[in-house]
Amino acid sequence: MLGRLFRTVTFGLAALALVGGCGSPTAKYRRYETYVRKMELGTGNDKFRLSGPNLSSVDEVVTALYGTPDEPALPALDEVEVAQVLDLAKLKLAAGPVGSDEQGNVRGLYREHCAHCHGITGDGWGPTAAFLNPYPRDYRPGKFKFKSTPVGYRPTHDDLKKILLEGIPGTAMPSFKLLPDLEVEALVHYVKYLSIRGETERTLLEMLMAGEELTKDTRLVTVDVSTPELKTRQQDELAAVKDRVSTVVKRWQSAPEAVVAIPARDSMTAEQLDESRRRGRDLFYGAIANCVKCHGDSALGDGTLTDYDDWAGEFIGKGPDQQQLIKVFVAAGLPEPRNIKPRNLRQGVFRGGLRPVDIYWRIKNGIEGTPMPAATMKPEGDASAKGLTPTDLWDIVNYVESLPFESISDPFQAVPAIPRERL
Amino acid sequence: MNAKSIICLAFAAILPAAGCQREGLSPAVRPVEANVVALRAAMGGDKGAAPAETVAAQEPTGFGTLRGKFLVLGTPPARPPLMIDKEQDVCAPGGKQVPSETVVVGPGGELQNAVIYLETKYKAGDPKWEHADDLAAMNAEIIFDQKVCRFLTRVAAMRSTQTMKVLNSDPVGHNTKLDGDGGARPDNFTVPSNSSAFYAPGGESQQPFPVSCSIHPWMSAWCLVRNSPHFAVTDKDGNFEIKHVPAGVQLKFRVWQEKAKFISAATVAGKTDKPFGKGRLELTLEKDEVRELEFKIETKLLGG
Repeated sequence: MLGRLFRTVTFGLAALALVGGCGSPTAKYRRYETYVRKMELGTGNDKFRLSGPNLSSVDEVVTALYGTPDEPALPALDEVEVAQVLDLAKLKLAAGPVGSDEQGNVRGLYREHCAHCHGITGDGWGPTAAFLNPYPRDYRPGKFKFKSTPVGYRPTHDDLKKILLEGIPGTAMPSFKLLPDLEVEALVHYVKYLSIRGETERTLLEMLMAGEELTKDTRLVTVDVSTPELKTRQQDELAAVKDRVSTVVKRWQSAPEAVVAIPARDSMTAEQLDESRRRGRDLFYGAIANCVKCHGDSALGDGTLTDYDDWAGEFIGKGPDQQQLIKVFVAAGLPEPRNIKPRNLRQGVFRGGLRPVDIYWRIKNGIEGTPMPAATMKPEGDASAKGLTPTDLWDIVNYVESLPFESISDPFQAVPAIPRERL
Repeated sequence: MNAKSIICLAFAAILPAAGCQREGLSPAVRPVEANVVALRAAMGGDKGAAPAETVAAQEPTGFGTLRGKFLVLGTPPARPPLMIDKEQDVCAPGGKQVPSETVVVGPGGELQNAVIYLETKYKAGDPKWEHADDLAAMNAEIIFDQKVCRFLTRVAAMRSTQTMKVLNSDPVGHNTKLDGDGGARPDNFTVPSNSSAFYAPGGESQQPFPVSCSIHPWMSAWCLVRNSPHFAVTDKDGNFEIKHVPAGVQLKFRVWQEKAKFISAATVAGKTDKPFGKGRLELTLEKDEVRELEFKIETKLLGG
């Protein structure tokens, strides 16, 4: 009798766990497991693993700096005013569970609009990510493709906002133009926040590895401050943490200074435009711009098909052990790497935008995180040096914009129309 | 308790643990709440804390020289040929096969392209730490060339204040993609044939980072950027020399090779522990001393 009662109770518990357990656990950030693996392999010892206490100590510092998915926080830094880059009030609008109050003020915008693809952590690995091609962006390396700044610089606030407003043609990224401006602003701040948080996690893991006597019990920052020596040590360690965080934040703060200005495009007659396109075509196939090498002889994007982007490439490299590294890092949570394809320029789908200025920026600056390099410009006042001039770049832009409308870009062109079928 | 109830209990225990986890997902962060609160409090209230980079307290008494040789013990790994499948007339004239340069070992076991550099931090540009010759070369230009679709320098090392002039001595166009990490800015630009471009890293890298050409995927090199001038790359005889090493202070060096990454074990000057431990080399040079060190590395660390 007692046995049956016991069974009923445990069965009930099991059923309860099944129903209740998967409901809505508190949202948590995920660890940067791939970067942890990279750090471990970087020691040169395949068997080396960071311990639970090692990693928890990094988690604690990152949490102390940035809070949790429900309660975002901003680091207090001496060198740089974080509020100039991130607006905490807007972050709070974007963070937390989805909902709204009686006045209709929304909250949880990131989870409502972004997290299913980009993930709570901004790691580009939300529940739907595996089904998308291309994969959603992983914000944590701080690299973004479509921006007005050169490779190696962060995007500006407006660059990211443009992506949210316009979406990215040819991908699963939609436009959020229908959201009120305040909500779009909140999301842009939140994307920057997740990016800065991820970059911080990277740099703190690097800091942990740079420590000299790394043992199983090593902590990134001491929490035991029972003696004056330990207190001093903690202060030194925290100062080092803040220094690294300041470097991360400053890159975002200084992004607007790096924006590449674009000279105006000359207004042209139809004949001049044809002439410009012809020059652009010559440059496309020429040895200075060299577009043809990757975009292919017919600009179908079939020139180089074996490369990977940096989001995978930083882990798997290009060496003979690439296949082995793919296995190691996929096991650590890296999305199964796919080859990065040069854009098929005949489709008229340009991910960074269709405006002439967008295409100019892509050619001038290159595309961060991808094999697309920046154009080498001719130094002013040195006629003999090789390189491109702004006029050359506009010629290439004009040619690229004409490609989708050339006859060979339309595969149906050759099919003869049968008049009777139209009836 | 009979078997059935044990099974029931087991299910009850497994379900909450297993039911919600998605395959291939990184574990959630695991901070200890009390520590987070304590750290947050400690971070708020220490304006004007000590400078972040631990500046070495001792002062050098002069300069010495560190030089030596890297040797591989055992049969070095084979060097498979590169797959050169583009522009072969320029990149593989006459169909000549080019062996991979990941591990290049001479006939006597001499290891080429190993890197040794100073890790100890100090204020860059301090004349006590940097010899006048190094200070004079602080903003110098270093040359990084490519010919027959190969980078002529496998491992480039430079100061963060220096500029790299990237040459292209080929009749075909290249691009140079530098995957700078840490403070070293990543960059990626085209280099037209028989022309040049520039790379200014702006800061120190964590470790040597990859340099590649996206047009010719077999092209591969590495670049190390340091704030200090105290670094060297071994030549084809496995030799290296770092001149003007600060003397009279304990220094830490790191040793790296592209296959082994940070070399985790080596016999240095006949010993396996000190001065070499956990990939770091600890040394104190006397003023005007010339220290010779021989590094012996097992071939298995290089994939042999």
